[in-house]
Amino acid sequence: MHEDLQRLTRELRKETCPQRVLEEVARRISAQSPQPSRLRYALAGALAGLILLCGLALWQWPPGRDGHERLQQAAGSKIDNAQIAEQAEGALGCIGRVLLDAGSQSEKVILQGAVPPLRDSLETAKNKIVNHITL
Amino acid sequence: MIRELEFKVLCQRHRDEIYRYARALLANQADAEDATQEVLLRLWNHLPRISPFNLRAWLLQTTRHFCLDQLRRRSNPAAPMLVDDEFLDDRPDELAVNPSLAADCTFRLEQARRALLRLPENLRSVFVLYEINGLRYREIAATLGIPINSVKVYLSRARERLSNLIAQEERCTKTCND
Repeated sequence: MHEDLQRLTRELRKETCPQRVLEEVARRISAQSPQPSRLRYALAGALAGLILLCGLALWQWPPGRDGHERLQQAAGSKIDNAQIAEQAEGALGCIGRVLLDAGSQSEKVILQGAVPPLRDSLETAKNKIVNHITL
Repeated sequence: MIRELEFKVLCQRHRDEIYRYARALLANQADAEDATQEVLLRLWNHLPRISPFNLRAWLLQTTRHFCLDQLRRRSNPAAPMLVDDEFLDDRPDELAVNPSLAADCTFRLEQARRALLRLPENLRSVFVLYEINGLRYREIAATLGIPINSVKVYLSRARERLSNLIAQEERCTKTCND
């Protein structure tokens, strides 16, 4: 490479950016960042107050309308319990009757349907055994 | 807080090469300082979105775009953009031959500086990025958006043309003195 060119290269490598450039950059960056204004604080305060009021309103809500609803619900539940007990009693009575009927029916069926053939078959078997022994 | 710290470190590390590149493109110290400021501000604004692996190329690319944009806006003939063999008539003051620069060495350095400014922008960029800022071929290719082979060719051409231009300046000076 040309001697002067080498010298130029060396000289240009020594060049540095002045410090004032960085200072100016820092100043412009700090100017860019938005400053919190009074309006922002006022808006934040108003929002916080609103949230507080809503919280208080919700806290006060149950003794009013909600309490009345709860009483109605409790009364409704008592009625429901009585009805259920009544219905259950009826259902149990019905089941008892059905079981008694079934018992009586089954007794009849067993005495009339199952016992005579069983007795006959036992008689037959006994006769056969007796005859076989005699033979 | 971390962003500020990272930004300060990056500024310290890269400000000189941004400034040198801007100065080579704009041929003026004050403009180069403005360009450096602007590039660092853009770095601050885009910092979360820039890949750290691509940061150097991004910075120099931004510098180049900003400087070329400035030159286009001003239509400043002081920094020849793509004039190839045309001689500079309107030079920046700081680069004009100063009669007080008696020392031959300084005078020759000024000649070399002027010769550098007479290079086309693409050759000048490759020369400055490689020889002065010390980038690799790959980084220069990424910065300028050209193939690596073109970087090598441009660098070779830039050296050759600079040598010719310096020799031409010397001849011109001798003729003027005679």
